[in-house]
Amino acid sequence: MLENILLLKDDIIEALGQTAFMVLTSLLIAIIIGGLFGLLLYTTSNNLFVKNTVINKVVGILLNIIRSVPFLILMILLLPLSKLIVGTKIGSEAVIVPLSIASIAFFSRLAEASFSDVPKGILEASVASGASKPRIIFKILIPEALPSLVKNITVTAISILGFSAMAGLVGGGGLGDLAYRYGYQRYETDIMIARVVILIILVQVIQWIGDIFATALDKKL
Amino acid sequence: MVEFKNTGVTFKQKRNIIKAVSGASFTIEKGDIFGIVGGSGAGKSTLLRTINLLQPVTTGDVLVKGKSVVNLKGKALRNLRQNIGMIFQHFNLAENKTVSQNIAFVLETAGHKRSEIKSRIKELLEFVNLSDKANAYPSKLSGGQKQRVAIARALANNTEILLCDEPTSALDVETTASVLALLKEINQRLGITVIIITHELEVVKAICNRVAVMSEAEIVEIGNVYEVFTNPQHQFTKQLISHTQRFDVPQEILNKLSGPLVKIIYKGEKAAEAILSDTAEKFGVRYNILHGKIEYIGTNPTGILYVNIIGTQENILLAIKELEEKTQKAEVILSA
Repeated sequence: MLENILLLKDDIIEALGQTAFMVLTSLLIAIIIGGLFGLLLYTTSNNLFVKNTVINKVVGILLNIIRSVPFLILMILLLPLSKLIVGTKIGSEAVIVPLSIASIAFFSRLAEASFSDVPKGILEASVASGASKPRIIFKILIPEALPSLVKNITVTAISILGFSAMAGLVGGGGLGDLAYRYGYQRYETDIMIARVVILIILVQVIQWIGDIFATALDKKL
Repeated sequence: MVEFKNTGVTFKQKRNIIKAVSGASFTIEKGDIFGIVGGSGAGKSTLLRTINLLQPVTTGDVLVKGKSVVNLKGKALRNLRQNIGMIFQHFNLAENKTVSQNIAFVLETAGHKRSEIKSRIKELLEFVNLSDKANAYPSKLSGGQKQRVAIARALANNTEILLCDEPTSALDVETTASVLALLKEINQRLGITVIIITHELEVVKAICNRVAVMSEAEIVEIGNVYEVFTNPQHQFTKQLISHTQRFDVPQEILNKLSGPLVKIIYKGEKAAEAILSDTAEKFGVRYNILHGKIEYIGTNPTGILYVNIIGTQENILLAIKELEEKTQKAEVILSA
């Protein structure tokens, strides 16, 4: 078993690199754009900010639609968009597009929940102090929601890692692809096991790092 | 300082229209410690929030320092709010900011310079006696300390009016007393007008000079605290006050009484004891004091005595008549 794995060492390292590229890029995009959508959902549902039921409902339904489509299908459906944005329908770069879109939809809702958990009283006190809305959002809302946002970023990262396993289908590479080709198609079970072990370690590490940050940022305890 | 002119607030909830505040008209003078009392849901909190427009007004007007605030928007509204401090039942501090950062937030909002902010924070924390907690997070503070930080934050921008929304309702008795003492000091030393809403009459008695009583969205009584508490006019106020003058003498003792039981209320310096001994001598009756208390509203005493009068039927009636004349109020509550 060991020599099999050693034989594929370079392949595994390459796959790890592809996975890291896909996950980190999509995560970054999800944090920025998903975070903004989460903020939009929150501020349009709260009358201390800019309550607007129409925008809230439209954005909410759009995100729900994306979240309803299984990732495998979403990836295939969005291949033309990948071609348009990154210029190709195959490889890790092509997968980034559907992966980011799925992650944005996923993280938006989680970010919205993080913002909603900030006690309304703190925001009311800020309004009463005469602070402007942007100031309250950047200086109070986001800092107060930060520990919870970090926890939700961790959850999102682990979900993206799961989604990225399907990238092999469009030649995206990555650990999932490696496990599928060697482990399933070529009956090399040890490769599959090694891949699963790597994934388990990755998930643990992501969770561990996320928890460290969340705890360090949370002053409520 | 603050003037309500037929101020009304209504909420639309589905198909119902709920009146939260209806036709409130009164004035809060500069330097007042003004209490607004009432049961929960009476509309106190809504009324308070119309002053800094956290609550939009449906009808009428609210004037702060002679200027109408109900139509203020944007920068003008934010400027108004910067000069009106507000504290809350649950303190509402930012949990992920230190004590200093919480205060700095409102100072930065008002556009103060960094160096000014530092010295102002130091001054404020000295005033509320929390200098050693400057870098502590709120989670490390007690309730009383949190409320002190909230007070420091509310005063940061040279506030002229301090709005207090149930400021002591989440605090224990001892901490309540210290927070009330601080509010009084703020009023007397800094000349800040303090407006307190509370359901605790003790708070009003302890520090307010004027009070408005609210019941079911309406102001039912308003006036000098001592007058309102010793001589309530409205049924709701009477009921509210009677809760704090509850009479608890064991039933067995009440069963054994031979004469009538009279409740005597007296105000100010007029000592009831002297009146009792006078009438006892004059009419040959005896008094058996079952229950009594002297309360201080601000610094003015008001007393309540429950006495059992023993003597002949005729003399008892004469004694009661004299008591009615010479005290604030004497009423027979048990005529056994």
